[in-house]
Amino acid sequence: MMDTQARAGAHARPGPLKLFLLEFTKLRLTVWLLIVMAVTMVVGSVFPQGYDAAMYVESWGEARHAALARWGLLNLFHTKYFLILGALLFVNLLACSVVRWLGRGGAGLGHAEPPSHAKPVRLPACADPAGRAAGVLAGRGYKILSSSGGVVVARRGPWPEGVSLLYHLALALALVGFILSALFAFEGDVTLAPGEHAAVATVSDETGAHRLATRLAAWRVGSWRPFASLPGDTTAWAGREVTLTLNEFITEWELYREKYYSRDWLSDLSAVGEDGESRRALVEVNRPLRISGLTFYQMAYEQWFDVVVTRNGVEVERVAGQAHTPFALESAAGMFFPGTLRVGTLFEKYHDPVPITPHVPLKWRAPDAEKGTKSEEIGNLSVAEPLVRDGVALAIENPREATVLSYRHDPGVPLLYIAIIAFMAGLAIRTYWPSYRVSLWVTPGEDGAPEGRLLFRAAGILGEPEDIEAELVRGLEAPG
Amino acid sequence: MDPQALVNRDALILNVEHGFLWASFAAYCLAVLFYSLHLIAPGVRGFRVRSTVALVGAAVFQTMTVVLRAVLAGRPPFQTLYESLAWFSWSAVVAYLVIEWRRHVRLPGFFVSLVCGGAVLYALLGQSPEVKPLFPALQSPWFFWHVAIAFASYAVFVVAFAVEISYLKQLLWWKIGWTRDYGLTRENIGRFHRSVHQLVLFGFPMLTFGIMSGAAWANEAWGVYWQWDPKETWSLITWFVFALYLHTRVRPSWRGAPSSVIMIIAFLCMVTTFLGVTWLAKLFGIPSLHTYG
Repeated sequence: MMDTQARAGAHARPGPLKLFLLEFTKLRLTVWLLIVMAVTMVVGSVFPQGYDAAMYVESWGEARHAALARWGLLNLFHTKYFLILGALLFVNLLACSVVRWLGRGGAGLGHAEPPSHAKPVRLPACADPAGRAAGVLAGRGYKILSSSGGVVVARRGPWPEGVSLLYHLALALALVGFILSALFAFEGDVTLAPGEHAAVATVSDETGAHRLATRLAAWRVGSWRPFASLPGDTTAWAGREVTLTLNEFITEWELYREKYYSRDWLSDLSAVGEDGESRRALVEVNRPLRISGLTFYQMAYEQWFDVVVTRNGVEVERVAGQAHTPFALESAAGMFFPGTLRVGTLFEKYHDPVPITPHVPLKWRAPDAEKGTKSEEIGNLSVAEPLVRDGVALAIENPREATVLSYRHDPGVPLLYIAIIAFMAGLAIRTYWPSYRVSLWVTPGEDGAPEGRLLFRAAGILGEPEDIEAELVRGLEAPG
Repeated sequence: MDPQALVNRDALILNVEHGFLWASFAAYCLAVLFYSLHLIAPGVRGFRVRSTVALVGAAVFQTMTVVLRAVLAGRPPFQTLYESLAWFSWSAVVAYLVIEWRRHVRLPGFFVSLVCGGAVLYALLGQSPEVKPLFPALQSPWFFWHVAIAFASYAVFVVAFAVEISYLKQLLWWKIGWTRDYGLTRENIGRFHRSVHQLVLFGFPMLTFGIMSGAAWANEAWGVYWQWDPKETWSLITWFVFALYLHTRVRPSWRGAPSSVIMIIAFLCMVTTFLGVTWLAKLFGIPSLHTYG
């Protein structure tokens, strides 16, 4: 009884930490945070996010762009408003985790007084009704967590607060991963033609942390600059780099219904890490190269060729061409629009692969065409067969390609993967492994017979809680 | 075998597969008809049985579609919108038939047949059945797991939505004094409604896996796990709203109308993630890596 009173007193006077926890673990706060974040994301999905101002001005005009930018609607997910929402969610998750760790997740379970919705149970008269009830529960596979002061608390299945703790903590860990990415990740790209080399630094001052340190270094209180030594000496980073050599760039196409589809593009690379480790790897989309903390991804390619114009077999003009870059000729009117250079190997279902005769699909637009007029397809510029236009023959020579690799250093990613695995494990246990928790309050009734109030909680989708609760009540009420 | 003969064989398989999809659409139409008759006359056993038979028929035809498509393409059949719509409706109808078999309540079948039939019709009339080559970004083991499990969650949510609507409809009918119960009584309707929560609980980890595997795949392919692309953003919105629904189920006072409303909003968010993003991207000129061509 003393214990009960002490606990009741503790509930009446929460300390500052508990008050903080109580505020941040309120379900109402979680619900509002989820609503506000979801609505914010809906708004963010309507406006293209994070593009250059020029693109917005071209699409919408200066005034509309200025208005939207002023409200932060064009980079909504990086505004202070959204970051604050994320921070609140983080605190909410963390507070929920702490409360679960302290074992206070199941409101009403094991409290001194039963909640109003606890179910009345007619317990048979005996010397120790609470002890008997504990025996009934133990006989059904429940673990008795406590049995004192007339309150029996028992559990069957995984510890629900523990599981809930796991996935709430995992979400909090994922947010830490995002912060690490925001502070320390950097990225870039490198273009390499076959036989070319490039050195890529494994450290960079293009990180959020470096920018933050630079801003802190400039901060002063009077003449005092507490962070003047930041961001430190970056000259020591010299020589910390990965050296790449492109041995070969391989492009593959697939022919389907007379149309070319990209099948694959691969970069055959030799890489030397900052510790001298030497590797050779075939990099393609979905197969990056990881070395010295950097990851290299197959991102794109660039293509060039010479456009050669001949009249009666005599070369009259030669211009440098590039895929998807329009060009004009002195010897033929209008503007020419080359597409993607088709080169490499051609695959076709039920046929053997064959080498492609390099060619570029070409479109043309008349010099006096109005703006917005679509260009017309006029054929292929090829190394083999000239395309005749305005009495001249057009062909290409010297087709060549270069690979475009993007690279990224992101220390937040491993943490995110750990968080993902922990979160999925928590959710899977919570969902597919049923867990039951019981609190039974036993008090003497007016007629001397014991009275019970049962609070039954079930988690997980397997099993029928009503059936299990009913069976348990039958067991508790059974005489003998 | 002569390559031309093989190409002709492929064309034949494609025609047969397309024919099966039309057959499944016809079966969905029959299912809608018999479920409607069941709504009007719930006591007639013939309508109950025929509605389920029609839906099983639709599932069988769609299974043939999915299998033939996978054989023809030599990959999982969910690259184009035509394939995704067929896969989506197949997953939803299979999920529903499991629930109907477990719960012995046919009321949600009407809504499931409508949704699936609509998806199949959209695929048949609005999309090309061509089996296009898989472009490089999709050539990954993640392609199967990410898409298959995300669609499995969609299927479960379609059934959850149908159960929720059936529940609300039943309450409304009781309120206005109609006595038709379709196997639902005031005693068992609470348990029936709880299956919405159970279905969402079942689908939520799958949706979570869908989002997280998508992020892991994007990181492997492009080196960026999250870009706030409209599809990514809407999948997260859907996740948030379903999380909201699950949280409203914790408090008894929110388990009625508030959780039902949130469930319906969550379903609409899911439809937007699946189909609406392409429309949204076109309407607002937003570039997206995930829109169907």
